[in-house]
Order: sequence, then C-alpha cells, then structure tokens
Amino acid sequence: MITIHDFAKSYGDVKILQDIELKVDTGEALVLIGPSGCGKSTLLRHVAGIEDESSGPFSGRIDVGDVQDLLRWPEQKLLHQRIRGNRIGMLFQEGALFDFCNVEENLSWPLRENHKLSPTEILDRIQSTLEQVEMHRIRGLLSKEIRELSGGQKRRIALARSLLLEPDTMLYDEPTAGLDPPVAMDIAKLIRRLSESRGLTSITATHDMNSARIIADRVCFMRDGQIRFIGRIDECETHPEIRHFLQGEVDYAAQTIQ
Amino acid sequence: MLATRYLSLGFAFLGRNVISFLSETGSSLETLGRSVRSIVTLRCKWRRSMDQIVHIGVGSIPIVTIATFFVGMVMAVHVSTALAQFGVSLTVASIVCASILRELAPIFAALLIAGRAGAGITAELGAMQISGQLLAMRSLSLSVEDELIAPRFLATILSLVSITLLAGISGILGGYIVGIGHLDIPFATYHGKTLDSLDSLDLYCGLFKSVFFGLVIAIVGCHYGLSARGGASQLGINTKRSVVTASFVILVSNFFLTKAFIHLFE
Repeated sequence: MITIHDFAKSYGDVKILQDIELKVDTGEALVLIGPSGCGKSTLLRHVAGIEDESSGPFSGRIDVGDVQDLLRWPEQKLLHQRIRGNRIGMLFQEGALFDFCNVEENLSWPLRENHKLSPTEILDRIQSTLEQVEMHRIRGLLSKEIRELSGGQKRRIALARSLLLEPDTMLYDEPTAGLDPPVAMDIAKLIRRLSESRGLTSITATHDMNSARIIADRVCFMRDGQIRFIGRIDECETHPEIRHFLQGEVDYAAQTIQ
Repeated sequence: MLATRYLSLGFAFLGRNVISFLSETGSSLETLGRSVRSIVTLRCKWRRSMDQIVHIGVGSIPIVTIATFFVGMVMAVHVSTALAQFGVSLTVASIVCASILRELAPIFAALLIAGRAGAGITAELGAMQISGQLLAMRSLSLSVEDELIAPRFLATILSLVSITLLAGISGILGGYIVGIGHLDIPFATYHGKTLDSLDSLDLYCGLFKSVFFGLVIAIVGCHYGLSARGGASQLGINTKRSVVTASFVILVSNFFLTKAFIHLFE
C-alpha cells in the first residue's frame, strides 16, 4: 500500500506540488494523468525515495508498505536496507539503461550487488525474467550493446532490470512515451499483465490515455501540481477538466503555481 | 545616486560569485569525503577501479611519455646554451634530471591527464546524470559513490603517480638524446652525472605533487559531471570548466607546494 499525506514540493520559489493526498491499495494500479510539467514525475521520484532536499524543499509524509515516512529516511539507511529496487522498483522514461554496459551487465549488475547469488543463479533469474517481458527469443540478446536495441526493446529490458529485484511496489514514469502506438499498447498490456501476475502495487505516470485505459484500476488527474480528480477510468472521461485535457485545451501558460 | 546603484550592483555580483564559489567548494569536498569513506571502508568497487586505471592511465601513457620526452630535449637544449657561456656544459645532466623529476614531469603529466581523463570523467558522469542513469542507479540500490566516483578517484591518483614516474624517465631520456647526440657529451659521462644528481627527495616531491594533482583532477571532474543539468550544451560547458578549473588549480597549487617543499627540506 502507498499512502501520501499532505505532500508539497517546491523548486526555489515555484511550488511544483501541493496538498497531495493519495492512497493506493495493495495490488492496485493507479495511473497519474495530466499535462507535462504538472508534477507527476516529481511525485514518483519522491515515492521512489530517489529525490532529496538538494533539488528543492518538500514536506508531508509518504509511506510505502511497511516503509514508514520514507521521506525522512537518510540516504545511507535507504541504501543499507536496500529499500530502493528491492521494495520499490522504478521504470524510467526512455528506460535509463546503463549505456556503458551490454544487456547482460545491465541486468546482472543490480542483482549481483543486491543479492548473494552465484553466476548460474543470476543467469537463470535473468532468463526467466526475460521470458516474462517477452524478450527471450531474441538471439544473442545478452551480448548486445544498448545502442543496438529499439525503443520498445529498451523499455522491456529496463522493466526486466527492475523486476529482477522482485519489488512489491512498482513506479512507471511515462512507460510508453516516444513509442509508436502498437509498441506502446504492447508495453501497456505487459505492465498490466505483470502487475496482475505479481500482485504489484503500482503508480504509473503518463499522458497517454490509451495506455491508462489498459493499465489503470483507478485514475488520478493532476494539474498545476494538485490532484483534481481520483476515480475509475470511465468516470474520469466525463470529468470536464479531463475532457479539456484530452481535447488538447490545457492552458499551459497558466499551469505553474506561483 | 548612480554611484550608489553601481556599488550595490557590484557588491551583489561579488556576493553571488563568492556564494557560488563556496557552494561549489563545499559540494566538491562532500564528493571527496564520500569517496574517501568508500575507499577506506573498502566498499569501492575494485573491478571498476581497474577498468578506470586502464581507461585513464594506460590510455594516457603514449601522449604523456612522448610529450615529456620532447620537454626533456627542449630543457637540455636551453640549459646547455646558457651553461656553455660559463663552460659548465656537463651540468646539463643534473639540471635536466632535477627539474624533470621535481617540476616538469608532475606538471605536464597532470595537465595532460586533466585535459584527457578529467574531461572524460566530466563528460561520462554528466551524460549519465542528464540521461537519468544516475537516478536509475539510486533506484536500484546501487551506490554512485562506490560504483562510479570512488573508482575514478582511485584510478586517477594511481594512474597519475605511475604516469609521472614514466614521464620522469621519458624526460630524462630526452635529455640524454640532446646531451649525447647534440652536445657530444660521452654517454658514460652524461650517465654518471645523471646518476650522481638523482636525489630521492626530488622523486618524492614529484610523486607527492602527482598524488595531490590526481586528487584535484578527480574532484573537479566528478563535481562538474555530477552537477551537469539540462542538455548537451550544459554538458559541453561543464566539460570545458572542468579542464580549465583543474589546470588552473594545478598550476597555482604547484607554486605553493614547491615553496612548501623548499621551506621544509632545504
């Protein structure tokens, strides 16, 4: 379960997020939608525990499962107890794969550092996870360099990298951004299938409504750093503000809260 | 009225720059502290350090040794011309040996490594920062300090110390070529003079300087890499700043280190 209480964040004098109250039940898939720059990714990075006060002050409380008040955990404690990755996984926009390593090193590196496994066990785990993300049939995949992969393949490898650590909470930041519609649909269906089969609690940030329809149990609409709507996907499409957003009528000039 | 306005603008400009300098120095020292902790607590990844030693050190050997070879030759030509007027041309071997070991080898090796490897460290870390790879590392419980920063610190220092030694040998050989080939000093005489003038203190001073310069290159390179934001243009600016700052600090600190050594040992 993810609980966010009275969360606010600023970059300098600009308030990016304010009055965020959110609860995601265990096994539930919540999708954050909203225009670019409304604070979806910033919120996800805080839930993942990878944003610190150096990027701007924040207040409020975030609980992820039994990790209480995540925002107050010092960096060394987060690292030492291996909360990130093993408890909370994150898929980044464009994958953020390590481009100085090949596919095998990208997948085995986090596993090697987080778990005491033999090389054979690591390889077995990698093969089984690659099957789950439907990448096991590509010949010589593990020795490929990252630049040799397509956008969709990169996203699947990044997903496999996160899932290898077996987190119970997953955060997806724009998982389908920059992909053509069929590939985006495939990725969205894969995320839905994996969430169901692994019982993952997840938050997905996207502005792609087609993906949201596939992934979401519930939808949360954000604008100007605030939550404007939380509800079922069929309810959200009748909400006037969301309708305007979907029809491309968002006033971006007035978006940043001062 | 106008004068007061310009004065206040001047103070504001000065204040901003002082704050920026202090902030950057603080951030660099924080990076240094984390890396030292990672190395001391043995959490630093040795395999990655070895990769970096190959990348930074081995890759820099040809350029540094060739450059210092010619520096040694130039040094010998200049010194011999001046000494010939006093009829003490044979002293060229001693002067070349001392100046190469104590000053020229550490300085040239450090400046070349700052340009080659320091810029590389900034560019690599900066590209990883901008593309979100460093955030991805944190999200996977991979320590950026243990995996990326500390290995670069270790590799830069170890590489620079080794390369300074090679640069010293190469520079002295350059002196040999000029002394024997151009000044017609017999090999045995030049060799004997060089061995006589070899002083372990010169060597230790040069090596101490190379440790310090290696630290400077690593701190500056990592700091500008980790602070890269935005896109390619900012990365380019940070890479340029990294080389300029490291070179500047090396040249200025060399004067103070030299003064300190003279004060302490002579």
